[in-house]
Amino acid sequence: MKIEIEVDEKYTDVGVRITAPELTPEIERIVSLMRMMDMQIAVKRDVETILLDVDKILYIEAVDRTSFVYTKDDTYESALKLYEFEQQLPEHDFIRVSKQSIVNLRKVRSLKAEVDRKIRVTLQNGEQIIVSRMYADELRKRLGIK
Amino acid sequence: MRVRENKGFFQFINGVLSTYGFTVLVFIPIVILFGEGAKDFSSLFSLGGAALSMATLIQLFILAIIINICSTVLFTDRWIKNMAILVRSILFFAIVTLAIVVFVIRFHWFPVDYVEAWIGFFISFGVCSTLGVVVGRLKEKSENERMNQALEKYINGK
Repeated sequence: MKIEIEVDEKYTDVGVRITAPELTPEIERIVSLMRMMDMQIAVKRDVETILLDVDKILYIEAVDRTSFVYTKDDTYESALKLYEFEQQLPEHDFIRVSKQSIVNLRKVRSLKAEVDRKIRVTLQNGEQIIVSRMYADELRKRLGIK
Repeated sequence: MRVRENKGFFQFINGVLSTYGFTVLVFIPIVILFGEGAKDFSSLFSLGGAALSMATLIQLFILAIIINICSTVLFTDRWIKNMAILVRSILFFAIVTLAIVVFVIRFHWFPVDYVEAWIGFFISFGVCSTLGVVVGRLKEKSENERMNQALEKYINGK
């Protein structure tokens, strides 16, 4: 892959132009990562690619090799891996709650202590996710209660 | 996965030995104080105030294993996924009470027709169990409140 950076005073804004013979999953991931810096992520619904505002996300779940992005009303797919979401989203209140999922803390309705020091997260849409013990301590730290 | 299984096993052994050690420590002053007077009707004090017998020590060890099996099954979500902590606690104390009753009858810890002993057992164990459940419930409620207050503060503070 060839990367060219051109710096010139004639440009008034930052722009990225990708040239390729065809749209590959790798290019989709690059676009997703760049969009995320802009607080948007590129997600797919059926064959359509949509730019989704990060603050609309309730949680992200990895199933097999696909990441599913859940909002209040829809579910989308993304080419990004969970660790890539994790690297890009920490400033937007996202936290890893298990090996399979990342939750948007701003979209959490309530928290409940469970056995084995786990935590049950209830999201704004009523869905519940169990925070594994390994990540429950991190959540407590993030909330300032540990 | 194997490391996690081993960790679980060692935690279980640790729990059994802790329970067993605590039970024996509780029994020592009871043996010293009441052993001599109770040796004629209770197998627990068959050696009077001198010591706990080997049979009693083994019975207490088996009881410690039963208690920790119940604890592992009820207070982890490995086998039971969705159950309130309050229900788990009540079930735990009910099963342990039943186990002790079986031990009392099977190992003649005290005569089955000794009504005062049964009353004493149920009152003392009932008080301890209720206290355990209530304390557990209060702790859970307090943690939930603390977490939800912190969450609200976190969301509103951002």
